Amino acid sequence: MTITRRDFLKASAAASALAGLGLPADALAAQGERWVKSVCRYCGTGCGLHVGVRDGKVFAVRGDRENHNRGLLCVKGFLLPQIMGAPDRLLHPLVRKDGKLVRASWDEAMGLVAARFREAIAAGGPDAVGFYGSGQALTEETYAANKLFKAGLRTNNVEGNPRLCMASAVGGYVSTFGKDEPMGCYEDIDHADVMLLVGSNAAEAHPILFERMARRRQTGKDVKVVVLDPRRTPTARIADLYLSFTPGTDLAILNAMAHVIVNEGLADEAFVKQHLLFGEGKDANKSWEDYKAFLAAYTPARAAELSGAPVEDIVKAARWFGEKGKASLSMWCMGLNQRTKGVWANNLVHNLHLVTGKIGLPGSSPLSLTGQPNACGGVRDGGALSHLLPYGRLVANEKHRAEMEKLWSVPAGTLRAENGLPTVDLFRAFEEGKVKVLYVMTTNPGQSMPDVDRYRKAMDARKGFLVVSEAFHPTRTSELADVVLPAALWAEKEGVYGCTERRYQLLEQAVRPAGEARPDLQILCDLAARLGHAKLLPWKQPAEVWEELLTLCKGTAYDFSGMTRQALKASHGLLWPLPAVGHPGTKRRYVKGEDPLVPADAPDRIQFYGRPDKKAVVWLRPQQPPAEVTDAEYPLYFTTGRVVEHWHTGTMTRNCKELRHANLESVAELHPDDATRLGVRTGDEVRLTSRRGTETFRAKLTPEARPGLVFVHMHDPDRMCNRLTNDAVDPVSRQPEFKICAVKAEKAGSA
Amino acid sequence: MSRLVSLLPLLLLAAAPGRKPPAGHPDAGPNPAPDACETCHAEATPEVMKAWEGGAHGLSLVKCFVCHGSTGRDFVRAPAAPRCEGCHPAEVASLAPAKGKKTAAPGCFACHDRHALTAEGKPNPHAR
Repeated sequence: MTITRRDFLKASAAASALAGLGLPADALAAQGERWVKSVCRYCGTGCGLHVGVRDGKVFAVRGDRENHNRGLLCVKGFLLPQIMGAPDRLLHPLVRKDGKLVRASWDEAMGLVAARFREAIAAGGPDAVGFYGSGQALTEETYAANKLFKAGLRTNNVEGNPRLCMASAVGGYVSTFGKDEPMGCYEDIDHADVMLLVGSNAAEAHPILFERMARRRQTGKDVKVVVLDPRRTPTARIADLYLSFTPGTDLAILNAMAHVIVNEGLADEAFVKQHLLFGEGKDANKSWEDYKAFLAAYTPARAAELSGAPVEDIVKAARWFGEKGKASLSMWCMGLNQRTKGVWANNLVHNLHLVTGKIGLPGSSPLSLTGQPNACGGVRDGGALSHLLPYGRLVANEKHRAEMEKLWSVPAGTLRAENGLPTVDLFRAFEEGKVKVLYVMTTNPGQSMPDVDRYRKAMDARKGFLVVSEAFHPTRTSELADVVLPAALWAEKEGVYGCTERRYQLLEQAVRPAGEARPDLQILCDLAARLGHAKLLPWKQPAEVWEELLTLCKGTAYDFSGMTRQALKASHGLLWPLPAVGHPGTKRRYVKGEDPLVPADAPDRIQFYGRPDKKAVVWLRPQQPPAEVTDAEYPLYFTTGRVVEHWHTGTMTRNCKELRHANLESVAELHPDDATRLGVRTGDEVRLTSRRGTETFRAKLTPEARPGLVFVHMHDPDRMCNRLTNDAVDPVSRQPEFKICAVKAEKAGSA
Repeated sequence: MSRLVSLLPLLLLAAAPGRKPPAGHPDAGPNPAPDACETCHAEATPEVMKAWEGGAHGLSLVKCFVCHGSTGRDFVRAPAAPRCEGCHPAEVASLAPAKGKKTAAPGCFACHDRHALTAEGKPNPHAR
């Protein structure tokens, strides 16, 4: 985006003082800079920003006032310029020789990668290779990998970090509504009378959305915020009602809330009759009466007994949520998703909205908050998981495969009918030597996998060949690689991100890639050519990939075929469905008059067209314990999460000195009662051990902690919480239960 | 904890009236204690921590380093208005002196408390 001198001066004045640290104000006003429209590299909020470029380098960012974030950025976003020239940027390819990673040419590295792929497939068939990407890659990049592996190499072993992050939210939306992705939008926050936050520490994980929630609570009339979380996080500071509970018992609380709503006449009987089905297991085989009978067992008193939450608080939460005439918005994150009953927990949140009819109205929606900036747009919508094909299509569906084979111009029968391996199984197959080549792109499983030591051993065993495409080195994954490919970083390439609210946004290229780094799209096209699939990935520019994507989404429930590159360039984000050029986009999906996919003559204000019967399903999901509960040997619950300063495994944020200084290492937060028992004070070393592994952290005592629960940050590559976490998975979503396991603790050293 | 204790005299000295504070922040070391800013300043400057916690910045976790920089060479003891522009460009711009006038624009902290950020009882110059 080129701007005028006048605009430039205005923009310069608005430049982030923080991002321009060390630069006098008049230097910011000098000629020669450009400001390029982009999106923050970090969380799933998708904040719009402008990248300031001077002499070919990123020197500042400033929030985009015309985007949903109103010009605001969180502390991480403001410091983005520091990641570009960080000392650990990888500037050339590396190849392992005699046990050491040494500099190589692109041709040598790519030649080796291609040779290993050919050998693996020749010896073990297509499923001897696999791809592991993330919701951090651009949509075009993830799509290129998905197409190469599924249609070219003919394996469905295509996975990514969203399996660790959002898979249960996907499972929840798909089982309840027939299609993935939220129907609501951020603007619903501005209309909500009641905000229910479950398993979400938005204050640290989604700060700009949290600011919007806080603003709504402050400026709205009688707005209530309910926070459900075992740990009293900073998010609970805006709570009118905070419920702590024994980890894993929130299913009982959510059912008890539905119990109160139904028993106190707060259900919308007409909505129930017109729009809902009821089911148990996998089939919609139950009735409204069956559901009421199921709920009878979940009295608030029983839920209180199971969970430890006060009975009156459960009742109050239900009454607030269900009050007629009030708009209720629920938001949740990893606290519900990273669970062995994650899909069920998601279903139970949806149930509250469905039985009250509080859905598809301004301020009333179940809005799942996403962890990564492009998990929704690139991986979920783009179908880059082992059971998916692009835009709502399934590997297991013959018709969907036939559609994709036609769209991709590959012979019928090219796409394999069996699902590929979900993430934990994929890494186990690598451990066993069944998957012989694993291509990891834009993510860090050597730190982010649960029970990480097991999978680190697998990656380090040299049974298979590990390729890592990454902008930084060393990471806890790249250090284990056989080949490390230097990937271009955010602002060094162009592409699309799709965030939580179905908002797609273009990130324009601001600067050239550092050193010899190349965009992942270019790397994947090179690999495809070397493997004989140049025709499948023929693109020279990311815009050409986007043209192809517009043809794939057309006619699906994800239709954004009117979202041309030009429209994206001109906009500050567009929300799909957007099925025709010039369409303004859709704030609220499934809503007549807003969503163009709902017929104008639909009988009611909403139509759940995601399922063939156009109904949503209320699922009867009982309370079930987590995979691991505390016992005499492992008496403490263990949970992990984020801090506001760092994002995911810290690969990028740890390059920002203010963030390093403010919060360098992962600590173990303990309640003083537990700490006293252990003889531990703040700053002491405490060794935590689970059935899988052990790690030592410095202790931080806080009365905000829940007695019996230890919380550890996830961003530290030196003190890795995932040595302890559980790789048990949800049977439906295959997402691991990062959030709950049992540990023992002992003092390991004094401050 | 011993590091925190050792820092305390420095901080108190820096805050003592009549003494020019040192330009930089006392070295917190390469490996500061967990939540060093908050932990140390809860003891060293409790009124500052309380004001911040109760204000808009505290609520949104706009932490110490956003305005003050790190504890390294970029540390800023008393941030001026340009620091505010990154998030509040319109508000800062609205304080520019009227055209033709030579008077300097008042700083943000002429009205706003430095940590609570409230400006109660002050006329609102941003509305024009």
